[in-house]
Amino acid sequence: MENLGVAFAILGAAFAAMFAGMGSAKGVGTVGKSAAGVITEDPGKFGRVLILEILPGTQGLYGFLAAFMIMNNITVGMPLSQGLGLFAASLPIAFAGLVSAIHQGRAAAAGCGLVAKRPEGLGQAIILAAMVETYAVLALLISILLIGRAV
Amino acid sequence: MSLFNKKQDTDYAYAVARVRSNELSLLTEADTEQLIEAASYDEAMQKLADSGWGEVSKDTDYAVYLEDHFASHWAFLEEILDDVHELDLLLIQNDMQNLKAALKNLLLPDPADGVYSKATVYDTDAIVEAVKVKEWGDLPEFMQAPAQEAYDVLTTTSNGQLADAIIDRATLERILYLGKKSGSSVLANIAERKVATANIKTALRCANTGKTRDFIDSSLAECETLNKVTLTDAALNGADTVLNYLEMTDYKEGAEQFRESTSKFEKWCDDLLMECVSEAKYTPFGVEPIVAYYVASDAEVKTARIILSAKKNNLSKDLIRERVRTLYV
Repeated sequence: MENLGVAFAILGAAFAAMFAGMGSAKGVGTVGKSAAGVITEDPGKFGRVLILEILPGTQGLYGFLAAFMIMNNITVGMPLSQGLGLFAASLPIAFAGLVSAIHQGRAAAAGCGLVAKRPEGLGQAIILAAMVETYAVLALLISILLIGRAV
Repeated sequence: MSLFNKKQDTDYAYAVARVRSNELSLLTEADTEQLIEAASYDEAMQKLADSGWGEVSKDTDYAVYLEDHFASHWAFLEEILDDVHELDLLLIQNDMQNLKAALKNLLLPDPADGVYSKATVYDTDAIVEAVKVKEWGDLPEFMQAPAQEAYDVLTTTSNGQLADAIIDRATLERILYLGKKSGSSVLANIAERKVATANIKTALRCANTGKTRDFIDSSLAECETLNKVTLTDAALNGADTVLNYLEMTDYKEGAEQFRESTSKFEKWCDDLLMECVSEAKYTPFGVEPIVAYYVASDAEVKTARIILSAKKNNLSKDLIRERVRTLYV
């Protein structure tokens, strides 16, 4: 029972990396399919659609960053309240990362369709997809602040 | 298990992206105007060739040329779709036309080859073979009963029109079934409009040729936006009664167009279908943009056929403009 705090903190780190990573994998995969379709018809658009494909990958990085920060704060025999605090701190980026990456993937994939028809619309496609990023950034910020408060 | 087997809209992301790229090569309103403005048939053919429709020569038969162009669209759709059954709703009428042709070929002393459509859901050779040996059980299940019924009519009464009506009605019922089964509001709407316009055309034709109640009843399919009994009664009382009934339905504009000319009515029927799919232009995923591409390809080829045929027969530009279909892009 004395290691329950550590267990919760580890679970929090796992949640942050796992759920945000799952969201990014799904989002990047969706854009990848659309991008492959565009490149099949016009290989010259590879550079343009690559930018869109990268966008939903950031949530995975945010989750990794939060997980790394939580792991850095784990100490042997840490109290349960501290462990639960770190676990709770992981939740914003874990779930906001998961959902925002999936939806950013959809927005970016739709942007690939826009680029397929109007290559000059790349900037607009990026802006529209990047709007979703706001909520992942806010979630990461809260997770970082909560990690700071928990230790 | 069904949760994992069900296709998600993003599963079409690759296909939709390819469709979006290919939409750039579809005819636009500006291209159509250029074709109409062409000084001659040859110049119109050359404009199509310049648009990437393939080489033309003095001997090129425009019907074959357009058929080949549509075949290239079909080959593209076959390539991007894992399963062409996604397009059953639009293609099933080609299968049923092939069934009709195979049944009629049975009774001809010298059966005609090359009358079968290529863009089909089921293997045409298998359908033709099943009809040839009268093994109705080898046909897809929904074709079995109408095929046998149409064959019986053909062999006992030689009434080709009634045999056709039986197959046509089975086609419409299948389209409605596929529309509902798709779970897509766009596809269900396409199915409903296709069946309704087919019913209207049949009712008007029956009214003008004085068909019996039994014949009309065998020809019309039940649909949600038209009342079959009222339409049948109207058809028995003449074309004006049919048009008066239509004025009380969603198809009021169709009645107005028919009163002006049959060519305007035909255009309205095709444009109605285009209206159903036009929202797919803003749909990022799902089967709808692919269905819309098929409808757009069909409208493109139909428009080119109208223009080329009119140019060949020296029809006026205004008459051509009246007939050209609304395009997707």
